[in-house]
Amino acid sequence: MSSLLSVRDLTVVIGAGRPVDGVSFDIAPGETFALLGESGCGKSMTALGLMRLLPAAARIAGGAVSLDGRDLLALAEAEMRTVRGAGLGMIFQEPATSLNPVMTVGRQIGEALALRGGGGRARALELLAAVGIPDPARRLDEYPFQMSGGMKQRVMIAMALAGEPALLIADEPTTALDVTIQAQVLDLLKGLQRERGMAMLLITHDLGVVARMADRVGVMYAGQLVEVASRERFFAAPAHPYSRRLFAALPDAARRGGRLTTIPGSVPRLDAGFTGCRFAERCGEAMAVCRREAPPWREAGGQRMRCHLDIGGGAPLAPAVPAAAPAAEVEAAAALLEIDDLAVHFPIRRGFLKRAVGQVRAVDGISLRLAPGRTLALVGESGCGKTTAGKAILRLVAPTGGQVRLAGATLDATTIAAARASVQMVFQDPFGSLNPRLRIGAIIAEGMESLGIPGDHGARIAELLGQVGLAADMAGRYPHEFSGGQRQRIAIARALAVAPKLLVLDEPTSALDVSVQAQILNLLADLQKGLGLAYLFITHNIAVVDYLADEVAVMYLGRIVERGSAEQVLRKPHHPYTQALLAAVPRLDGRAGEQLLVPGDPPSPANPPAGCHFHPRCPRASETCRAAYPQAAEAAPGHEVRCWHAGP
Amino acid sequence: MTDMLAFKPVLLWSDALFFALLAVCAGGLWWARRQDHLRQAWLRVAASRSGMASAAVLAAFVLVALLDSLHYRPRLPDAKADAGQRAAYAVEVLSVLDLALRPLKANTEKTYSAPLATHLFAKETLEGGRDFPRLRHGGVHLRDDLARHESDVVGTALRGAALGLAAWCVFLLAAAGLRRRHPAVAWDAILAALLGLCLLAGPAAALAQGYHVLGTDKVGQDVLYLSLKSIRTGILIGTLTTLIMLPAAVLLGILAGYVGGWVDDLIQYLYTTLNSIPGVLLIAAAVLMMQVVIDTHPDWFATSAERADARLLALCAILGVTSWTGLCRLLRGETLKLREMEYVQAAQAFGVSRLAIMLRHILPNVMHIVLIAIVMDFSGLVLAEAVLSYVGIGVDPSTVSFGTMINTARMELAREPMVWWSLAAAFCFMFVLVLAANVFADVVRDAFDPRGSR
Repeated sequence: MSSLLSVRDLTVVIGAGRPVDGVSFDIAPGETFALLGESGCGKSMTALGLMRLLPAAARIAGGAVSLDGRDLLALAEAEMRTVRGAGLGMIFQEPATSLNPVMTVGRQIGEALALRGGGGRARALELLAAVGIPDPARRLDEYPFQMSGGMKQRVMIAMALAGEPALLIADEPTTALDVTIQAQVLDLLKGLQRERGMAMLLITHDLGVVARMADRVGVMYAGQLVEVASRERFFAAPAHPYSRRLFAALPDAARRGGRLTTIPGSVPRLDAGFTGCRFAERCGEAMAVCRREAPPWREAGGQRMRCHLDIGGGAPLAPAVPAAAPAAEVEAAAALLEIDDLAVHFPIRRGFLKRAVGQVRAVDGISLRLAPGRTLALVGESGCGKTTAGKAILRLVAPTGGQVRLAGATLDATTIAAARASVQMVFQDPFGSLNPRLRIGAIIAEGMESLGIPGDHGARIAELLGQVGLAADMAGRYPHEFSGGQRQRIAIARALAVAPKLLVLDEPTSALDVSVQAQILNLLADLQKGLGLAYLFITHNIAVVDYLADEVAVMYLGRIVERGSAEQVLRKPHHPYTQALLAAVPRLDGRAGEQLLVPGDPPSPANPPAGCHFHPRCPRASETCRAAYPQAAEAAPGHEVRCWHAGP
Repeated sequence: MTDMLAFKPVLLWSDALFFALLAVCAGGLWWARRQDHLRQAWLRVAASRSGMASAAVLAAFVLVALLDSLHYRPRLPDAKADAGQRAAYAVEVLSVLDLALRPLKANTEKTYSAPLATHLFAKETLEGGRDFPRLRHGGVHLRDDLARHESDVVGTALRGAALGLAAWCVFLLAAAGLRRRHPAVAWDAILAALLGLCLLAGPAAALAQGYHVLGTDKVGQDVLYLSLKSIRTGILIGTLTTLIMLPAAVLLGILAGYVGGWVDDLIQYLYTTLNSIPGVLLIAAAVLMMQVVIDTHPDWFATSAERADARLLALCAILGVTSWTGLCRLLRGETLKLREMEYVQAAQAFGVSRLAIMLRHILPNVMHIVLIAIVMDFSGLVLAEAVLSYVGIGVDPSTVSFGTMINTARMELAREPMVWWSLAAAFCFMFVLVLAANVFADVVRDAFDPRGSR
């Protein structure tokens, strides 16, 4: 197999650290090679090293990179510029910041084209059409802010294609996008690749994306490749202990009620001198030799890994505890949380007098029930109003309509103060949710002090830290000393400090790596069992929902389109949107499965479509759908769907 | 007679504020030592070479200003030694710096003389026709042996440099001792800056015994003396102005950003309006009004120094009123960002009061901006004083400042040959002060910028 790109022993140094340490791989023409790894493992640094676009502090310390036989590291910067674009194209994670906000899309594509001899507007139009942007002639003269995230990412892809690169480097191309949009973009990339015979280096942390896209997979850990295999081999039998644990840490329905396998600890600091295997500290199968000697490459059947164990030689991981027989539905219990017709409308103000000219219906009449000790998952794409709904329950944003009752008592502006101890919230971003200027102890004590909870706060803080799996003496430290997972534990301890009955969890794991996510999910399960907490779990991650939710409510554009037990909604979805959402989740078995693509972007809640909000994107839409919003109908006892054409 | 001191201490308002400011700074540093993140940031400043070199230069300036702020009134020599009579004190208020520089202050010439000169700058009609008259004090020790002038200057300068080196060796020994306890501090940079200062101050001090090192001005005052006296004015304006505007800027900025609504509208209108009034006009009007008030109430002030001091403080207040808007706007923006942070929302979910959130969560997280603004504004204000005094609406004419020095020297630039030393001296002193402040501000900003911290 002749290779298009060949990387040998690439090493990048930043100060004393080596974010990329001796990475070697080949990519054949037309092939997709996926670099898989958690944050900080050096996968993005590898890509930037290939492009020679490293940040100022970093430099390439050794190795060789050749593209089509040309040694890229030996080229002068001026020559390298001709390679970028024509030889190597790159698309980045965040479409919102990768485009210049003050230039029209057409000019930005034109800029990329001008470097390759032009082609002008006609060629730009052609490119926009190729990346599936509807009405490209109009879009060409628009600015990035007029486009949705998915569309911006398509424009980025069009710009990368302008140079007709032989190899496209895609750095987490869909991480910032919703699942339905992610499915569209992945499909587009796959189609373009097939058409143009382009090779692709796909950088991602998402096993699902790898399963859908890659021909071969390289797993990175702490700056090194630890396993390289074909996709089929890798998903059938991951060999390296780290890879196997990554799979075991993924939540899904099969592990319901059981514990997820976690990888203890966190990725080691890269400026630490390594003697043995870098994974030894966190590996359950580490032997004495692992700490002493760097492991050799082992190879079997085209699968290579860097480990002292033989391929297939590792001890099998403890299988997930099979789900305990689902407890008989506890319908009898009185609902802890009842939401009726909750609405949050934000006025759109215009003009000098700031008169309201319209309304953003962020949350538009949702009703939910949650029993004590149960988990209700509120699922939806970004912008559907799920976070606003969560905040409205705590009155962090003032609801404009409807009612929230907690244990029978109505929550309103006057009663919320008394109820603050009963309902608390855990936020998404563990880095933004802790005040960097306060010690951990003060952060956790804040709620107890504010609500005037009596007792020995110091002892309570120590107890809480123990409960979330941290040491009591960490109370004196500052947040910056903790990793993302530890910070999320602290945020959970802060919410638990006032002994709430209900926790609103707003995407608590979406900013975390898979292995850390598993730790947090296990912790949440333990706390629920031990303290009888009820969770309102707001998320877009279907796999997590499948793992822990008792009931599921699917939200689209401010309204709940389907709700019922997890079994009902996730196994027998009746609403076409739910079905599309489930189908868009990349599957781990590596088979393509039947694809149900939802076209287009979610509409704006300021100007929702008439009739059923979903009809412009719905394959089943009919005249009725355009005319009126469907009423809730019961598909089965406790399973409510709002669709004119509901059906499996 | 035992209760009669040889002097009577005088505490001017500006002295009191300056001492209070220094005390607050010292207290703040002591407090910062125990705050982990502040300690880390200041250690980054201490480890920076340019930061420590500029800090050493600034410290020298502050020392001069401090000496110039210890005021007193000397006792007049008793005309009649009447035991029962109360001692009389001079109306002139002196400072410790005046005491140290007494020869410079007292030895005035008739008019302009060039640096290190022995004769006046202009010819006068003398007994033997028109000639340059000898100075009353500059180079009198040479008597008629004027051929010795150059060698005497060089010799004295070298002796002074040797003395300066000796003084530097004392610092060297002290630094060697301190280095063992605080190895992270950039001692070499401090020592290099001190070496430069010693090598300048030593010869200047030695030469000042017999000459006017930087010449004399129109009324024969020593320019070196005037330059040293100007330092206090510059530093006071740079620091007290910030002190006056800080509470308003911080309070209003955070209120506007956090509370929002009509409070935000009101504060925004306020600073937009203030910002649209031409600053110099506003200051001119205020200074003139104040001048009238001071002139109509001569009984408020015991000495002319108190009068000049009142005018200096009033100038600080006016500059403060016109300069808080920038910081206020910055803080409003930062607060708008911070109030959406999840830790603020978490506090809201606990029902923490608005005031507590502003104090606990917002204020500590904008303090780095405040600190950076203080240090950055300092140099701007020193320059602003010079400009205002030049225009004639700055400090009291009897207060020595860089601005008044430049103002009196400007006409002489047109003279042929040119009288350049007044302007050059003011320029050099102000340049070094502002440059040191700017370099220090840059280092502080880098150290406190959360994005730069590792």
